[in-house]
Amino acid sequence: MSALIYIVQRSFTNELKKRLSRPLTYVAIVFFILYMAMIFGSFGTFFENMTMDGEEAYVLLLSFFIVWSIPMSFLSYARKRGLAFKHSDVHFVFSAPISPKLILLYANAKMLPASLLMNLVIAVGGIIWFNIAPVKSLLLFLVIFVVEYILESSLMLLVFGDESLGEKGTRTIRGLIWACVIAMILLLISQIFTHPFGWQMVLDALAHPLLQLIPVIGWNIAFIRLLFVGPDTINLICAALYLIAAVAAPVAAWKMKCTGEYFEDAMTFADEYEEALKRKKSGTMEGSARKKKYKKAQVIYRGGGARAIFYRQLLEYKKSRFFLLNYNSFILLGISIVAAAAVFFGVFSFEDMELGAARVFILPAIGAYMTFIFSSVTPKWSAELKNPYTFLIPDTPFRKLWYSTLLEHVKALMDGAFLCVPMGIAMGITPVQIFLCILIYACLQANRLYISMVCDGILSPLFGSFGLSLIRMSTQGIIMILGIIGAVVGTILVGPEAGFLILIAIAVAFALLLALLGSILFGKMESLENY
Amino acid sequence: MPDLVILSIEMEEKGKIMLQILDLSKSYRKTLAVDHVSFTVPDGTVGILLGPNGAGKSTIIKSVAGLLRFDGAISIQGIPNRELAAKKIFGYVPEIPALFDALTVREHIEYIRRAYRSDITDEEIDSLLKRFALDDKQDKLGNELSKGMMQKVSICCALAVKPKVLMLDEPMVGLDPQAIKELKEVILEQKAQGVTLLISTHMLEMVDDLWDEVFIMDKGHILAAYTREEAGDKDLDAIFFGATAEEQKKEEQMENEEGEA
Repeated sequence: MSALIYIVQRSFTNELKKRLSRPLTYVAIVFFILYMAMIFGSFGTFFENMTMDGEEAYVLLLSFFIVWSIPMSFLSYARKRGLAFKHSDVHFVFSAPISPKLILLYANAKMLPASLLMNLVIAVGGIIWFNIAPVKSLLLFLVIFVVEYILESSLMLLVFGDESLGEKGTRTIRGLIWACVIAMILLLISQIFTHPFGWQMVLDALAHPLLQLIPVIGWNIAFIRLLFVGPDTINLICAALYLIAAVAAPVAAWKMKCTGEYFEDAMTFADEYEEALKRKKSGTMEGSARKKKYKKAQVIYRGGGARAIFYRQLLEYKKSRFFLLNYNSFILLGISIVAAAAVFFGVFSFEDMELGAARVFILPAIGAYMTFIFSSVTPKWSAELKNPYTFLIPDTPFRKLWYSTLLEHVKALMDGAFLCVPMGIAMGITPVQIFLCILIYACLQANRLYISMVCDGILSPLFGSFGLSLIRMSTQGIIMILGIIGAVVGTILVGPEAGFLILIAIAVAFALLLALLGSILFGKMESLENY
Repeated sequence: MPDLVILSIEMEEKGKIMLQILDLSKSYRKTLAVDHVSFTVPDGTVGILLGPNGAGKSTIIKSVAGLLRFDGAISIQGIPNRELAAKKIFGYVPEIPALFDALTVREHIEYIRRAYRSDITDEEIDSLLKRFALDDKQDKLGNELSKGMMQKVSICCALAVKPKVLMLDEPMVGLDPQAIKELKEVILEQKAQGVTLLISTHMLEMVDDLWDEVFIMDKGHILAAYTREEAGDKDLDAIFFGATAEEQKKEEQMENEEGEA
């Protein structure tokens, strides 16, 4: 036990020291405080606008939080996932003479600070936004944090570590959790028949007595309802069951047999977790850590030098299941088709938005919004910087950059077409305008790509991840604002097509400038360390 | 009496067995990585698991370290390997070292001291770090070290346990010549102190002057096992290629027979 506490304590101290030695940490802290203040302010306004006030609304919000978070955790435990084991744990902790149960608690404790912060926000938010009495808020904190943490940890131990369960037992538990989730979904669906479609339907489902009968998830809600709404037969029984479970589960976990058979699954999970961390660090969110399957494909190399990078990437994409497309492409297509269908079936009308001539700017605006949303997805080019051959190829850095990113621009055009064509047709804008909207989307994506390249490759030694995110967002924002100003002037003076062309010209100019800066990375290998 | 028990008794009768592997089998889904393998490494000897990539060496090592589920039995000084008492006397150097990002070199060893309740003194730690040229790097964090340095820390940690059984999986990979020389000396010193060592490797020349028993593996089986005495003046190269060539001949013969049939 003392060894595990030692790891946590020393890791925390060293990490804190390291961060405090960087001046930018203090800037980040200021931004974080401002951000939190903004969040608290905006949530207050949001709840006011939603006319959500008082204990009843607070209970519904907590119920939603419980329904959303608990099944997700348990499903991952039942799949022997969801615990943050790293390779260092496999190396130094699994083989050490430490009880495997303690090791599970240690892994679970890594998520304790985040959980504590979240529950503090809920408790303090209750006082600020919903006028909850501080004593009740404290009591709630004890229930949802302390009791829930004990119960959840114990259930995690039982699901993850109980070796008497076997594969069949684990499957049964997984099935039971799914049964609870399905019961909740059915409850929600049943509300559709008795309520008009909307927010109230969800609220009534969350307040439904049957929800409280669902083990653990419902019992937790029952306890909260007992605390805030007052006693009734169902919440008294279910809250009692909740307390019984909170006592029985730790006892069962204490008694269960656990010699560390889960280590093998945890090792696999550690591989996936480390891979996910690596992807997060490099900004790549696509795909999973598991090995991808590739098709057979061929490509004819036309030309040499840096062009070889393009053809090699093309070969890789041809071997991929969906060629250049990824899940973002399908999301864009889905959004566009749904919007077009909504217009077609008369559910929604762009004319109702009373935008007049500015209506043609809806598509570029949606494209810009999507560029912001998917800004964390780093494309394939970043892998080129990990490959020493990129630097050995006898060609200029700019040509290497161009051929490393060319397919990303093609991909952006395809995604742009997915987004703009169905929606553009439904909106009734001209084919030329649709084409220009596709170009705008591709230009905005190019800006994002080269901004990422400059930030991650050149600026990352100077700024932390928070600082880089700010630079990324503000640069993209500045380009967009300048582009919008140009587009508005062009539209007023000549017409929307001219406005679009000015926007494209501004975005292309910035993309070229950023690409020139980014090409530095393709000239020297030191940049490898940042990827 | 079950076969496993008989085998175990026979082995115990040969002398004190520090590391005992009985009828070990391990599959990854449909792939059989280790197939009914049994061997023992007696007190104070160096056993070498020799074999090509994918032979099943690392699977055996990971099974002994208690990291994998397996069929069969593994015991360390007669104690099942998953028990804490067995883990307490067992040091492990994995193939790829993975240090804690935010722990310094010295703190890694301090962690080991606490986890294993090792009686290693501060002076002994100093001397160990000096020996592997880590004394000037003891305040470096895990994520600030090169792969070779990480491997050295991993070896120091395993030695800090003061184990009775030390298991090293491809320990020479990533080490500089000085560290390899130092590690070889350490292995011989540990053996002289009565520690049992099991080393997995495919680098024959690195362990030629270290071994007492060699287990030649391929495709999840032990093809041959020799003690130093049985091998006579043959070096590991000759033993290994002799055993694998014989196995290949057998396989070809079987294939021919099957073809004819």
